[in-house]
Amino acid sequence: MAQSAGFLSVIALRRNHQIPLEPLIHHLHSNAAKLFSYFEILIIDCGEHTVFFEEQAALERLLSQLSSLRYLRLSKDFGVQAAISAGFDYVIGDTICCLELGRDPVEALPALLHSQRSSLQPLVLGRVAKNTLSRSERLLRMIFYRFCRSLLGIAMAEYATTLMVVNRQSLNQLNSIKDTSRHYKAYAFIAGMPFAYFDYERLPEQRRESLLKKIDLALNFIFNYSSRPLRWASVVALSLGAFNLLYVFYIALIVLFKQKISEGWVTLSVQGALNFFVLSMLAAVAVEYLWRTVDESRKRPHYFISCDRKSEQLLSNLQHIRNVVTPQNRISP
Amino acid sequence: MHAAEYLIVGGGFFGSAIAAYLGRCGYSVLLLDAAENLCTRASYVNQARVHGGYHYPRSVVTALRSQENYLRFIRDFDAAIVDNFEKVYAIAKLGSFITTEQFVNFCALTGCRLVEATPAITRLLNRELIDAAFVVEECAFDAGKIRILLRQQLHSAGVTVVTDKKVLRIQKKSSVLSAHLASGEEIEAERIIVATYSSLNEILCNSDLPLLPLCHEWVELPLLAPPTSIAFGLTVMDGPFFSFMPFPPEQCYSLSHVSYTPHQSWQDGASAWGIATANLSKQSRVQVMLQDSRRYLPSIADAQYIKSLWEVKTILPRSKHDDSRPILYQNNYGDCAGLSVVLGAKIDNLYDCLDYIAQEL
Repeated sequence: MAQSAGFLSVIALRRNHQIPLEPLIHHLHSNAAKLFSYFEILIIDCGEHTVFFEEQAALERLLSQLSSLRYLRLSKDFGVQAAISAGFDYVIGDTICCLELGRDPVEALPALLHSQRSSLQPLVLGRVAKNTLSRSERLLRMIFYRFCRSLLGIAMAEYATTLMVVNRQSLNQLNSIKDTSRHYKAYAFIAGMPFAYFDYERLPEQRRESLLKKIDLALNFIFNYSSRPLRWASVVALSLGAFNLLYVFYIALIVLFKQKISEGWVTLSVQGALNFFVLSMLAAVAVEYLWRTVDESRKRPHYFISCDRKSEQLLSNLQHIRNVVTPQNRISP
Repeated sequence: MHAAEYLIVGGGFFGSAIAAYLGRCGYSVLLLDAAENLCTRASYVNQARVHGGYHYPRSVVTALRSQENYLRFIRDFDAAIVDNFEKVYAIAKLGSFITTEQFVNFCALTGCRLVEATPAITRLLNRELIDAAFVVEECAFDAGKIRILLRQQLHSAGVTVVTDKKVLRIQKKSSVLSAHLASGEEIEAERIIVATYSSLNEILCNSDLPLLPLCHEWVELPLLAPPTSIAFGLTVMDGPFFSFMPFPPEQCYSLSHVSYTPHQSWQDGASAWGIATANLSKQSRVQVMLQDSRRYLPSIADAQYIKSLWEVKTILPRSKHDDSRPILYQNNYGDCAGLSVVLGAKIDNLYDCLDYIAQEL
């Protein structure tokens, strides 16, 4: 494959510290060099683990050996979407790829870039084949996607992973969305951005993400991108009010027309329990939105950087860049 | 006849500068142009902006190279530089591909210096539509003076310049290349560089060589006398907006609008090239451009229209997608040893092309 003109930025998300960093980055570096004359690799350490001496030493070796390398460590685990946001904020390339080290195969890069060129879409999202997922995950995902699509009205890129490629223009548009909690799988729909899928085989997960974390991500997603639960709460509150009003009429009728009024213990109990259940649900939904509103109103950064390191030869390539397309470079998109 | 070691076809800015460079390197060079003078077409009809990189937040390579070449260009063409005005970049609130924050970050990354525009400037802008405005380090060039400087450079480099000579086709003849002229003459050279910009494919087609995938636009550049209140150049970023820039050769301003400047566009096919520009409409859109521009800069409505310049602007297909403006340079084109083609882009990126040529000398 001929080298492309332009500048490639690769965001390499580092979540699992058990995967050795050095061979992966060397592999990624050599692949990027084959694809583009000029490139940078931005390693985003998602801050999920403490960095121990061996890893720090490996990082130092990489920074001294390889050009065009940058390393950012988030101060704590702000979630994978925040890590992608950090990458998007810091990269300078014309074409931007994002992948998770150890999960998204580096070998997929050429095909991913090719699919962007051939589809002529500004954004291409990696998608994992359904049959590679466990039956329970597949079922849960299917329910979640259907729930989002049908009941919440949220369109999202289903089965999309962290692997993606986007051009600079579209990235700038994505970056202009200032939500505190960013979910790039939904952004293509929010921005009405045309995109294509890239099907590939994801490497097996070596460290399973906890169910609680996944639930948290799903809830974040729902409450961030849909206001329908609030509408439901409103409808239920109105219905409950109407029901209670009817119940008052019912009591009045009983008092007026019935000679002997029973004690009504069962009715009262059921009514009280139902009311409290519904009120609790309404409170939960309202509080979730209140929390989100408070969170947004703080205007805090999506993440904090605790370590920012650059390869000594970060700009070595840039100094040799020439804005010239030659037979070795690609002319057509 | 055996004319020279190098024959340069096309006397625009790139062709002339390459000829002067090769002449300085000690080669015998002949420069041919179909027009009566050098730099009369696209080298003259453009925004006359010396790019400092600010214009390309969506193509970091173009931005970095513009930034790198900026000082070199104004040093080499000092006499043609016009910098007696402030250059303002304003970021639109709606419809822009970048936000103010992103623009500032981009400038910091690429080393493009900028300061916030003074109230004297910002009060002229519609703040409902403009988010922020910055004064940047960018200037304009006088294409007329560039022509004079290039003439001097060509003369001192010993380059033979022949104008009013149109090359129709190029033919490989054993160890040399032969250029067939419309006048019936035939000129031989060891190497030929074709730098005819929008009509590159015309020569390639006539020479039975593969065509380049080029995109062309028929563009209008209206020239206006600015109102007294506007003494600065303004570019509204980044999307379907406009630039109002000094146009030094005619002592006025030019107005270009991303949406309305191109009147017609087409792409050269695998076997067909170009269209007859004589048949293209020259119905000005200056009023439409002014109508939109006044939303951002109300006082532009008082500008007096002088005339419009028309030209074919040529870019590579990829530039439509990523807003980049690379130079195309291909040597031994179509397996024709000694034949090179050049499609110039931003005038200040010339040095990138010269670096490639230098590698081959």
